[in-house]
Amino acid sequence: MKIFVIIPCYNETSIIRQTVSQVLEAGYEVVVVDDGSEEDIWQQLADLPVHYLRHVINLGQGAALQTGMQYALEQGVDIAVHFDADGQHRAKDIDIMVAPLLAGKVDVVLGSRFMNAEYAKSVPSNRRLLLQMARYTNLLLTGLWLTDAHNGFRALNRKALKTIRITEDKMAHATEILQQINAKNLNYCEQPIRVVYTAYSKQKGQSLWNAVNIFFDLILNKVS
Amino acid sequence: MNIIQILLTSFLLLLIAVYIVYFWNKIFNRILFFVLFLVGLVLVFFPDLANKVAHWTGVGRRADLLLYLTIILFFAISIFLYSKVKNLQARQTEIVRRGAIEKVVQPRKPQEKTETPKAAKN
Repeated sequence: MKIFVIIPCYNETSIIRQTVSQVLEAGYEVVVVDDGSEEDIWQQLADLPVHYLRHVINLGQGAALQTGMQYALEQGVDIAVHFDADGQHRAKDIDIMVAPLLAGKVDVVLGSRFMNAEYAKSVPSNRRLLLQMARYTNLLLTGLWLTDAHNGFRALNRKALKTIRITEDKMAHATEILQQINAKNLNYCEQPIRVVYTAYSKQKGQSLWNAVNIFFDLILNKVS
Repeated sequence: MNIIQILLTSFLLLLIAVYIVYFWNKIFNRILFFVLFLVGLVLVFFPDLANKVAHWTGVGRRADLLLYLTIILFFAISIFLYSKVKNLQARQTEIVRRGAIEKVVQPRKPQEKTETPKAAKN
């Protein structure tokens, strides 16, 4: 089984090496997609055995993921994993995410912070409330009823990699992926994962205004 | 001719000149532009006609009619332009993506078992 862990990265020089090392130690192959960072990401990774792709300009996380997925397909992978660069995801959860795909049960596995009561408690309360409300908007927009409507930890099998194509370059890609899972009848399930909230990652997180922007992006996408 | 008619006609002629130099391409654009130019001329030189059209369509004054048509045209043009921009962004993304994949740095493979003849001799 050939498995690539795709890590889109924009200016995360302080933490990318640590994140990549943890995934490598967990025994997985890593694809770093440098999304036009102004900082020197390669310098942090030059001696590590990673696949390194670089966008010459910043396009957005959605575009970076699609680049990683396309590369993975061309390299003949069986499974691709979406993994955050900022240390919020735990490398040891990759085994949990990939298990249903290896068992052939589903095409896509979506990470969820809220399947496990203990993991759910570690989510900051204001964000938890917002995400609970987001479940309903998510059902409306994507047709999927999930416990965690906005989670960047995903695993896809080859069929899903060929079927899903991210066209939203920026943050609306998260909802677009779910829409495509629904529209193209891919089998999916959620798996419990823990998100690690450090001071660094908390200040980076999605603001309410981003949610508004994402909403408009998706509506206008239907117009054009 | 009064001053406003001179001003508006000059402005319309200037728009045509700019359009011909920079945007003169597809047949649809040509026809549309010509029609708009004629409509513009008519509105400038036959204000009473404009007024009649306005009354006929149930609008108070010709200026109101013009305003409504302008709003609709503006909205249509905005959607058209937005669609063009989205298209351009998609093409840009594709170019950048191709470049990234072509220039990928892959992890160094472990040393091959068979050495090249040159190395073996050393």
